[in-house]
Amino acid sequence: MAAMEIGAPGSSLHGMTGREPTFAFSTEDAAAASKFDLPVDSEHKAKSIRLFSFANPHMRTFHLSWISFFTCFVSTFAAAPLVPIIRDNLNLTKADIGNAGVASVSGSIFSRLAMGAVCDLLGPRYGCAFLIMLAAPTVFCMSLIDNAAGYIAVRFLIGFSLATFVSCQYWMSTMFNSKIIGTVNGLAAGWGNMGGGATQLIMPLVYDVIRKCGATPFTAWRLAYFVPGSLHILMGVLVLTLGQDLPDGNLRTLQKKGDANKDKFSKVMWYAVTNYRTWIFVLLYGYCMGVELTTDNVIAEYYYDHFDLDLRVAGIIAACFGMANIVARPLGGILSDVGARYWGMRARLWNIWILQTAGGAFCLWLGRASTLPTSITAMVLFSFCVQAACGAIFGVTPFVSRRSLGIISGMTGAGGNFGAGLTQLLFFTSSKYSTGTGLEYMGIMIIACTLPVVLVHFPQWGSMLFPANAGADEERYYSSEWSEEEKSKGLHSASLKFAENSRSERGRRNVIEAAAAATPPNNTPEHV
Amino acid sequence: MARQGGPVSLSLLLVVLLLGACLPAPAAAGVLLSTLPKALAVTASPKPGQLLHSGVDKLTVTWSLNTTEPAGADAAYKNVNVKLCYALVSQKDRGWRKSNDDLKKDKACQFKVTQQAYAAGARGSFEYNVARDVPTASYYVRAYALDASGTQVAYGQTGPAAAFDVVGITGIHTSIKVAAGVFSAFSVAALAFFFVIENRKKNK
Repeated sequence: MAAMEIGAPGSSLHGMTGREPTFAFSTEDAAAASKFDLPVDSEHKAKSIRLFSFANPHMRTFHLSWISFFTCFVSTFAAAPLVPIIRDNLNLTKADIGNAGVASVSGSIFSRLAMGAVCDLLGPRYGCAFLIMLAAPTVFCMSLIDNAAGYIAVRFLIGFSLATFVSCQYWMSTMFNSKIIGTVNGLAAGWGNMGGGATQLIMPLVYDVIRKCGATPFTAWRLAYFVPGSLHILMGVLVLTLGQDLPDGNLRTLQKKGDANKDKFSKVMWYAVTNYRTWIFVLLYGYCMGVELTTDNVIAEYYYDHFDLDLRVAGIIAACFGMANIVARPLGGILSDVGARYWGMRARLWNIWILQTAGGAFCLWLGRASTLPTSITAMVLFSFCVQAACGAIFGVTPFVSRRSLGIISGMTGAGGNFGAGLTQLLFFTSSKYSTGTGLEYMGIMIIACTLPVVLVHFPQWGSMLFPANAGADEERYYSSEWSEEEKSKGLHSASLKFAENSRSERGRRNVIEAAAAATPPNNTPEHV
Repeated sequence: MARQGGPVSLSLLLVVLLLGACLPAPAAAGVLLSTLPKALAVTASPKPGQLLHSGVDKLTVTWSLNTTEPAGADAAYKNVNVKLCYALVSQKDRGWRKSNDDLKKDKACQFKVTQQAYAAGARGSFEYNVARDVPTASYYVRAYALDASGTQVAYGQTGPAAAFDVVGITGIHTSIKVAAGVFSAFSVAALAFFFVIENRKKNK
């Protein structure tokens, strides 16, 4: 966000909240500085991030949070690399396997929407712990099923745990300042999503070890499921004992203070749903995150069957897909930010289109590849592009709305799961075409469903093909979400502040205009 | 981080390409089943539709030169390789069990019953304990006659038409059930414990 230039109107009062101490020295800030490991703002949220620290409370929260999310990804996709064994044990057909894949990603569409409310009521720490510890019995149930219906049902129930995404992002926003929250959330989301790749390595390895100890294949995979289940319990206990809701302690502090005006849910929902950009991003995210989840479910089996590879080798290759998240998703966000510095929001939109369309092209190549080296190359390039596109999309969603940011993020996230379920149902459930053909069609669908990003137009910043409307500004866009009555009560002040900060989305044009404004001729400066 | 992103992704790509280069090249096409003479007469002890339990039941396979073949046609047969093949009903909707004329790509015959020396002119037999990793499905038996180099030169089968059923093990032991129950109960109890304790502290 651009800093205010000295001398610009209103700059002397910028950032004042009326809660500043009136003494010349700040006793509270000095105390805060000594208590926390990282520099903090007035709400004690960290202003920077130090990745290799576990200091309480900010970095400890970061690590507890992303590892919990990672664990849920591991257990949701734990079946995928073991499907060649499970399909024989349970006598599954291709339709059963496809339906189970759809079920595994559908549950969290609803649980993610509910999780927001749970975090509001109980706090993110309990939200995360409740979900992860109540999902543990479902993971253990997987060891006890013996038919297709049970398989589908249990994968559906385990999929609910993906709502830890919401608790993870919510918890980060209580601990980290809004200036770095984008980077922090991108890192946490990317590293959590990596669980979908790590599981393709972990599960075949554990299965192999158990087999070497003498178990038959049909028992070994069931025992292997105790690993993700135990991880759930471990992380749940760690979150409850080591975590805290807020930098200063737990939720009861916040509840006693009485938080700022709570907005009306129906209004927030209305402004999210009536903004056409929300729906375009829901579709787009469905074809980057959704495609990523689908591929996590089918890729190991594809390599096992199509290239006759050993279970462990197929798992290693499949893992390369999900593990690319460690750099690919944050990179997408960084490319978005770097582009925005020069060309503003238009660069962010082009970034999404380029990355996601390239991802679709590589997916098409992957479906067509007949030799192993080309297939792996196509898969790695596909993973980078599609995961970077996910990061790029969440670089734009904070600007779609200020009032309904939470709901829009939630809907976009749910769109990802919906896209995953739909794609699996369309291309990977019927015996009419092979998995390779399914991947080809998926690639074509990605390219087609990315085109709507061309339609996203911000009056104050423009769109991919058109520049900004003359005379439009950020304040008007963000204030349009409030009625005249609400504006007269001053409820939209946070939106106005955000509008001011978002002027950086004009790119270089903002720098030029600001420079022109800062040196008007024949004017004495505001401060003398 | 943008500076580190470039070299990191480049090195990842390099690793992938190296991995790809080290992987085995695709093998040449194998023998085609349609070119092989059906020179062996194979029988299996289970009647069509009979149920066998893996790990418990046995089946006996016998093979001999088909009476339609001239005597001495089996001079080249050195070994016989007997396999358990999925019947068509178990291949439906399961592309990973599809039969293929090219024997290198065929996936229908995945379980080895036996491989042993072939005695020319005599009737060979083998008693097979249905292995514990044979899954629930319908099967028939196929025997390949191999020459000295190990290539298939003839075959015989109890035919895809007549198939018997095998009931595979579930793999679930009582100990797994108990362990799953204990772990699940612990998880729920631990959560309840922490919640109650913290609520008590809050109310104090």
